[in-house]
Amino acid sequence: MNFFNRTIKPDEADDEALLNSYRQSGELAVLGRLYEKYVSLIYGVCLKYLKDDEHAKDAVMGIFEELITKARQHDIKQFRAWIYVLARNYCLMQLRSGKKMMVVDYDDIVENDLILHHDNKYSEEYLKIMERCMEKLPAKQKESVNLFYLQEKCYKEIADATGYTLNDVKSYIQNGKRNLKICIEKHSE
Amino acid sequence: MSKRNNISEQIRKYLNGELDAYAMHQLEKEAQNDPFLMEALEGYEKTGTGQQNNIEDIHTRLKSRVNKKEARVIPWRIISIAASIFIALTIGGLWLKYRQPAPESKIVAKMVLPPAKKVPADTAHLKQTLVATLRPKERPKTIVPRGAGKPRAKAENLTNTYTNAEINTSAPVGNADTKVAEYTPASSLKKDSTSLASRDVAANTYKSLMGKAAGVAILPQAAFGIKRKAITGIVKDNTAPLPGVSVKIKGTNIAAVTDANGKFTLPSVPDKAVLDLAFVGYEKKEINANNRDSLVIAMQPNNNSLNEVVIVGYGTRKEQEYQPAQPAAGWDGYKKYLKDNAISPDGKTGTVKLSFMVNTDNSLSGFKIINSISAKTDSAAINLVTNGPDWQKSNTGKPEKVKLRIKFTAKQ
Repeated sequence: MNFFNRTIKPDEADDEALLNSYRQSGELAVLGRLYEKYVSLIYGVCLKYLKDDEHAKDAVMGIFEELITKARQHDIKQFRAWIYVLARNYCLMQLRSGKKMMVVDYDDIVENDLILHHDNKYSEEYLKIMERCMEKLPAKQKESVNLFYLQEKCYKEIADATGYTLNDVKSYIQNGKRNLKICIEKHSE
Repeated sequence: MSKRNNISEQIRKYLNGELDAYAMHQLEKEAQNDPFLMEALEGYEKTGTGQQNNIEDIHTRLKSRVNKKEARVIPWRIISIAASIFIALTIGGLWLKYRQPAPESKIVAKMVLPPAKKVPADTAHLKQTLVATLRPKERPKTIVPRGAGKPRAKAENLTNTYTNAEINTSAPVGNADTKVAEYTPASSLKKDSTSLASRDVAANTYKSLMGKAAGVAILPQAAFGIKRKAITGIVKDNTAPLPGVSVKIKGTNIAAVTDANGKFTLPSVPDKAVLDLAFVGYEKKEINANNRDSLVIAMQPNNNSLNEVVIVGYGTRKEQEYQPAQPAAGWDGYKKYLKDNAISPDGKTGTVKLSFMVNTDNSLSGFKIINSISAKTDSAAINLVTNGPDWQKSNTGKPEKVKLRIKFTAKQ
């Protein structure tokens, strides 16, 4: 159960190579290749915030412009996460003219490296703690987490089985995860 | 790169329902750990399908963007062109500005007529000579200004009369009636000022000033046949000189202001003129200017004005600050007093809390026990306060309640 582990993607090395290449050569084509990889995701994020196709497309291009300057200025450790933050902030800034919105800090969203105190994560003790914490979860969360992680059902299936709405399912899973995490950390000390 | 495309593919399929349940789960699980993917999915889910075209569009745009040369290159060309145009315009503008002959209006409209400035002649001399006594329409023995001598169209009606007048000066130089040398047109004044007899210049500038310089009032009627002279004076307040006093020729707009030493100069005051003096805080004064060219004027303070202006700075605020009722000699001494004297009469220790009123005459009344230890200790507490150091009322002007805590200890 890799709740808290992030799968390390082999592309990271690739990203770094491209980035360095750009830094040295200044060739836009190189940067373009790097950016292309993430265009779908970035576009999706822009869609989420800006809600409009055209705006989102412009935003994707705008983010690229920013990337051109920032790629050289900043020391980027993980491009994927970094571009995500950049994209998100850009979208939020766009929205700012209409509403007031907070700009997200890089650190806030790097949840990827969740710390677990145990080195051997799957020791018996750990599993016991996990089980106990699961028991403590509120029913709906427990149910959703169970179906999703343990039984590997997709949202749709869970929704069909339980009768909860898709959004509710997602919500239960999120909250369940969070509660589990808190509970486990508490018991791991 | 393939993985990325895979992701896009997967997303597409996911959205289109082309994935089986397990595959969907996989993607969802990945999204759970990856906020980037999660948000992207949310974005797509909210805005519906058919985004493939848009994504292609983006890729196209990206390609063309990347291939654009010198995109971020600073347009040196444009900057240099802009700069040259700017410089050319500046030079042109400056050239134009300094090329024009200085217009007459450059003659400063001051109370003191400019000849004093323009002509390097003796100023004092000028003051007296400035006043060209003009006689109305006398038969000329005088010189008519040569052709081009007419200064300006505006002053034409005036110059006509002037031309007929005898330019007479009261200069010490004799030959008052003699022909005055050639008039020169006002415009050449600047160049030839040194070569002219000061009188001429004065007269001409005076002439040309008529109707031109704003500050110089034209006294067409009054000008004729009336002796004019400059008047200086000093205005005092019984003893000290008064600067800033306004000295005006009554019936006109001609005025001067006294300087830091209280002195003023009015350049061209007709005989029999009356001067109005005014200054805030002082009685207005009227002075006859008859036959006097130097005055000493005293002004009387005006009782109606504010004699005393109290400036309340922040420093004075203190007095208005709220001060509660307190021991007259201060808290430190009082606390010591309490400490030294708060011995429990019946051995019961603790803190007695009481309240009382400090009245406007500094007396104390209305004792109330809030926290009691024992009857004896309580009354001991009240006695301590009553017989203790005096209290000072609060500065609100009303009786104020004071709460006090007295800690009683056992007899030593």
